Amino acid sequence: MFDLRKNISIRSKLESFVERLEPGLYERFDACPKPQVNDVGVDPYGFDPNMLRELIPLALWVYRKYFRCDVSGFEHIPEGRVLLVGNHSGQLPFDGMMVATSMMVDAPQPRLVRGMVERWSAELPYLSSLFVRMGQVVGTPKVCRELLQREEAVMVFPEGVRGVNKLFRNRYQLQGFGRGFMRVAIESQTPVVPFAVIGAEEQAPSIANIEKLAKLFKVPAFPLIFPQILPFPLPVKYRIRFGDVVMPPKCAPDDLPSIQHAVHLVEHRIRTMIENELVSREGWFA
Amino acid sequence: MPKTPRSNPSKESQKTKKATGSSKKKRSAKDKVPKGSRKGSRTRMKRVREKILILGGACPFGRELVRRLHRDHDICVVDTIAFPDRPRDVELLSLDLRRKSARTKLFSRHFSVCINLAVHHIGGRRRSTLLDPLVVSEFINWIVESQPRQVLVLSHARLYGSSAQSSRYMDESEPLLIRSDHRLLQNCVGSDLMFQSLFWRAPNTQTLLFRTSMVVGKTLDNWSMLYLRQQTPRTMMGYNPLLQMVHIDDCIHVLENAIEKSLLPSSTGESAILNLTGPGVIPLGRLLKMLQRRPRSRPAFRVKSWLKSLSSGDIHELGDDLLRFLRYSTLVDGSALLRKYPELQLKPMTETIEELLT
Repeated sequence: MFDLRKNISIRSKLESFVERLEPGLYERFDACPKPQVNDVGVDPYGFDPNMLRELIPLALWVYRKYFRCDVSGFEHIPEGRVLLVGNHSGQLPFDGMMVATSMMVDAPQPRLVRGMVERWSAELPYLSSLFVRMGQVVGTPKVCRELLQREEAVMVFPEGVRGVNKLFRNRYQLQGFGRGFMRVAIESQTPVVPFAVIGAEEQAPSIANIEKLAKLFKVPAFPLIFPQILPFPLPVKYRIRFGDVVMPPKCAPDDLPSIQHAVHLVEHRIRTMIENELVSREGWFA
Repeated sequence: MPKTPRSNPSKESQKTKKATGSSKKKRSAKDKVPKGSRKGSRTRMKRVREKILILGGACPFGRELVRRLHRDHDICVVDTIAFPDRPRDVELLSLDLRRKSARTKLFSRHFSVCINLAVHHIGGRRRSTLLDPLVVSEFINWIVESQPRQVLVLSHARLYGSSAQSSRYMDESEPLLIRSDHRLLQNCVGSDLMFQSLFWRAPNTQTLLFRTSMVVGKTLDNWSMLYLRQQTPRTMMGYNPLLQMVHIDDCIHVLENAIEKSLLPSSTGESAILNLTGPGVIPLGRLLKMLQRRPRSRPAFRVKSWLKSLSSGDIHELGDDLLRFLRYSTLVDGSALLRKYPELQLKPMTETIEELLT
């Protein structure tokens, strides 16, 4: 039987825990601009700000305590519409979650970030619904364009599944960027902020990809992860670096050489940030 | 666009009397007076009274539509099911259009507006003959010959298909992707595609093809309402898709708008396919919670058998296809319709849910 008093006491305990961990978190969350929701509390893409408010303590604990994220470069992120473009890694998409959490808890002006996810993610039980309620959207140019028109911050991983499912021996090697994000940026003249995530590559080292099982379960990859047995990532230290803004060229959206050049520029900046951080870091967990 | 012959209301009412065979005793003296001469009916006088054919008008959706339209237009309903409580001025032709004699009887007449509700005609315990490819094809040939002013077809947005790929907003240009071995769905897609042929086969007729998302209403008995009426509906374990639902009043309002707006001299009368969606999206779990249901999450095979036990008739066979709609979100873009009818006010979702609760 549902006990309301018990529920209230759990909620108050959770809020006091959050207050100890991150004073003023809920004030920051309430202050950040949110998309318009309908009369049942969801936006046109299924994002539910109230549900995000409930789950933000969990994300905060992972951000502060589990991955101990170190973030810098917030000064490069402009106000209004922006495309955050980064490297994808780690078999499980914790990198996107950490970037979004950093924008909420550490950025000078807290913002909600809408991540673009693969279409096949709708096949995943439980996670598919969770992604949608947390504000993730299917990665199509049309959806991206609409979100940017509403002056939102959109996070894109142009490597897609090739990046997140790469083997451990290919760690920190960019897998080739798609050009779609730059086309949208050119059409809407949206500033592109490249970011690099260092540490996520080591959270779940994949030593092989079992393609037959991937086909059987209709997923893009079936990684064999070592040394974990349980599907929990290793508590590595995350470093997130936001780089200088890349303004999209003023050209036609079908001007392939200009688009390619701009994509290479973004890719180059991310690679440079990754290389710099790999040199300066002391280890996976430090 | 051909000019619509303005008919004399008194003559038309006499004709209707003959056709329906209703006795004079049943009609009050008030009914004999032409409507325009009544007090307080000035607005009706201004409207052009048109002869409207509603195919499948005796289904719950059609009944609501008939009740809304019959005051301003002469309505003729063609259906195989009974419509006992129909308004007295509505003509019901109980015809099975698969028979040649029935088609000859209907096609000898002329209507200025034809409304096809065949896709919405299928319901919980009903079989529809109006989706038979022969019936649809003959009906379209008749439209090409008789050239009515307007053809309104109500199709379904579910025909876009539901898959992991469909959780984005699909517009009218998307192909109908549904992959089904079931005859009923094949017929629905076939009907939708065949009516599109009117765009070039009958260029003088305005053809508007509305693809509606889940239509809900207290009086309806379509598959969606059958599901939502269950006290313990089964949901797919691990999935909570987004739904778009549109109230039946909004659908009827759109159809009324389409008939009346196309009479205006400023209207271009262009044929079009238009998605008709509700005021937003709602997760299935939340909808069931707001309707005070007690949903039970079950694995796919259990939900499938439950769905089959839920219904009979044609949709009994659709277990696999209905299962996909409980798993994936199928979202369609309804902005084209709102651009065409900017004054359209859709019913808020909470109001719809409150109505369903009562």
